[in-house]
Amino acid sequence: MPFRSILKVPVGRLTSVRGLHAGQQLLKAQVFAMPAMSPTMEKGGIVEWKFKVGESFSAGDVLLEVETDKSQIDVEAQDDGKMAKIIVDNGAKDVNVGEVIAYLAEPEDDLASLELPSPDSSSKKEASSKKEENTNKKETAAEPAPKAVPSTKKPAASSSSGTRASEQANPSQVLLPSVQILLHENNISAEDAIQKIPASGPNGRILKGDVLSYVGKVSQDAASKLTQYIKKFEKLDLSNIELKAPEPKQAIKSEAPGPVKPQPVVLSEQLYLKTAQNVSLEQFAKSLRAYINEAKYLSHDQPVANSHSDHYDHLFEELITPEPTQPRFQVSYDLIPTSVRDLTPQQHDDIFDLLAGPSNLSTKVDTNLQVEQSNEYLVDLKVTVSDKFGDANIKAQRFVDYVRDLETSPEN
Amino acid sequence: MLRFRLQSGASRRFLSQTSSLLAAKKQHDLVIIGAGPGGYVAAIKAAQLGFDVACVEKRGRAGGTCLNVGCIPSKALLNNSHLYHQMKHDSKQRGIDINGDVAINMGQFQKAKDTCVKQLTGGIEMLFKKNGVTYYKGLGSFENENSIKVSPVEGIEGSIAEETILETKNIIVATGSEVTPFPGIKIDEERIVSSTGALDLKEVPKRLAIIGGGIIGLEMGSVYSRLGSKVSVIEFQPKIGATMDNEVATTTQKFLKKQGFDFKLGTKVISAERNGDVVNIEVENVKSGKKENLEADVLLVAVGRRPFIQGLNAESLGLDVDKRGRLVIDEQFNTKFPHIKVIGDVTFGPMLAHKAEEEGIAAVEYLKQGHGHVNYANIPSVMYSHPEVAWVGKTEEQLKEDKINYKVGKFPFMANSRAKTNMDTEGFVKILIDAETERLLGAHIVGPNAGEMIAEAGLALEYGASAEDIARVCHAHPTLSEAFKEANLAAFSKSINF
Repeated sequence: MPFRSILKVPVGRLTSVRGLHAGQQLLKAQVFAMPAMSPTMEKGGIVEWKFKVGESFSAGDVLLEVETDKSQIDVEAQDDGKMAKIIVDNGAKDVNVGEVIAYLAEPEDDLASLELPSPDSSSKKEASSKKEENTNKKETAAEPAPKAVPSTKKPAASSSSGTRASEQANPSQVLLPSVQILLHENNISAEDAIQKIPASGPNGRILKGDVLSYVGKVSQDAASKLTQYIKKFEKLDLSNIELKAPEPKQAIKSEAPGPVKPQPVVLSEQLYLKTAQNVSLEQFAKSLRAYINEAKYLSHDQPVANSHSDHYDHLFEELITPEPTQPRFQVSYDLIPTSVRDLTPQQHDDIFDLLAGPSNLSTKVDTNLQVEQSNEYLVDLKVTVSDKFGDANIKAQRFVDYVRDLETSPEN
Repeated sequence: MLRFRLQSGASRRFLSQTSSLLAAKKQHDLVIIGAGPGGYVAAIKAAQLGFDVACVEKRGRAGGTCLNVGCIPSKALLNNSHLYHQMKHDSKQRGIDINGDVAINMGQFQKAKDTCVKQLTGGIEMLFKKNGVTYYKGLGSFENENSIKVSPVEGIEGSIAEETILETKNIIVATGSEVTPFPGIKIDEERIVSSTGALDLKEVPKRLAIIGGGIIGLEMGSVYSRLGSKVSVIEFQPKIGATMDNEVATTTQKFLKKQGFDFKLGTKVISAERNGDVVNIEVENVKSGKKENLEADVLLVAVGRRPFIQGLNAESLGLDVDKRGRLVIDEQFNTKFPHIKVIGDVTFGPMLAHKAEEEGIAAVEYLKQGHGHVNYANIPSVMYSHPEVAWVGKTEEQLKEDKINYKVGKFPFMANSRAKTNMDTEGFVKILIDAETERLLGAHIVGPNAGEMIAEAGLALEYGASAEDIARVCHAHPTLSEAFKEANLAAFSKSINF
């Protein structure tokens, strides 16, 4: 079982079957239809009935467990009652919402003498048994296909699944004044109206427009079309959502797993470096790599606390500071030659020996002469500071300072 | 044994995260961020349905924008300024002689407003206590998808003392909205003010300029116009009143003009700058391109509101945000996490307190029983000018665009006996119904107490009533509501008294 949530959903017989009272005297057993556990639910499975036929239950008891595509939900009884007959057994899948799954009776009812309507034959009975005309069972039976039943139960579901806007009239409604008068004018009884006039109002309410359509005063589909139009606006229009373009910041963040992580600090630095003319790119790159590694080591190795202080205790510092071998930051850099000239190899590869002296953009004009005899490079440095260590920021800054020294270093 | 080691390993990793190290921890079923009309209503409803619920508010005082710097204080100013205006200009013809001066005491005027705000916000905290909602005054932000960090906020009364982590099964985000700034104009809340500053002016400005002819601008304009300000409204659109029916918007503009408003429609603001005690505004007519310089003592920037998620840390969970800054939800208010819901101004739909309230209830009901109800086709709008303007459902323009054949029924308050006796006869009720089925599609009211009357239209819409159904309901005489009945009568048949 992947995910199992037990939601207590009280489903009374009144909510699952409308117009209960109208039928109670005539028909003892009450229809228990597959409940809709969410407005979008169309089908569900029956996991287990908690009561056997003949067993009594009281309000609040779990009648059965229903399985939807998302979860398993307990269905509670709202009134006291007795299980009269189970139509759809344990383990059934894809039962349509609104389909009859059982019959319930009053606790004091005698099951032997109880009249149980058969869900299959009910449509045949339609014409013959006048007695049942007004019962809620008829409400289900009058629908040509049992599939349409859910739309009479939950208007929300019908609008989302795009079924017809008109539905079987709700037999328990008080007719609107306009409807009463129209019916009277056209010699239609209230009972006939509820059976025969498709209702386009909320919860199976017969509207004035429905009667006008029925008696032919306005076009046949005027009322249901209008209801369709109105229903379109009952929900938020979430169809054309344009998402905000993710910011570049977020791109970095998405690499970091886990939502708890604060955004990593990135230090970036651009250095303009010059080498003597006779230094090759390869040579320079190699010595730069060596220098950066050295700088990384040094900035990690030295403690952050003031080691000259009287209070400095080497042992204590070691205890509270994570190992210097754990990297506090990640370094990445691009070495871009801006004017490479000569590639004659040179002997020494200490980077300070290779650098041709201080150079930056502002002095470029003055060093025109020098350019003739030196190579220029742009070093684009990025330091991503880890957020796991308290001293990471200081150490990363220290590293950047080391690298910055390259730019200001004299030629030696 | 192995399991035990794993656990201790996990907790060590957890401890290394400094933010969680010191924080106190609390458990709840549901945490709601924001105690505005959406958040506080959701909190109370959730508590009533049996959830252990916490509500987090960074403002300290509950009630959000609506109660603190929106609907409520503006209505206090509107009502009292209306009384003043009536006494000053209206009493004589009604046979009331006032010996002595009728004058505004600005200090007391503002204090009266502050008193109702205080009582109402305090009332929410009482309701929280009564219903067992835990109230945290502090800044709420996502720590992860199942915990909210509440940080102390300086300067608010009763702020929590230390950072607290609320671990929870469900979260509802109701962080609301903030004033949209006007690019290039710096709001100092003294001379250049937002709606918040406009509620707190220390004196009545001689000249008040307003950018934006929407509801907020026109309401604040009404207040100061009654107190004696010369009000100019600058609106980019060729009409005022945002989503109002065109006929209603024109009527509204007419009566406001009669009250002394000056309208510059189809006009855009190029710049506005404070120079000492005056504000210089440069505007340009959109069509003709003609430029003009205006001077005002106070400039109100009321160009709308925008969703507010600053400090929420929603981005750390990757919650989707649309181009206008709204948190993205589905039909059941869910973000990409089904246990994190979003309601109110910070997400889609009209930015109205009563819409947020409905969503608050529905969101909690979805959590409890998997089903909730908000009918977005039936959300009323009200402007509390005098006369009031209120509407719900479709406008004529919308019906024309959607090619729905409709009929109009109109009834003027001039023909309503109660309005007549009140000597308050400006405006009308306008009913829009489907031409064939006569079902009510929209109601638009300009008139005294229109905001109360619109509730009847809402009820009728919700139940699919036709104009005849409304007209056949007995309305008390003499009341303003008879005008509503008569307009419905006029829509499908003929009115009696006009």
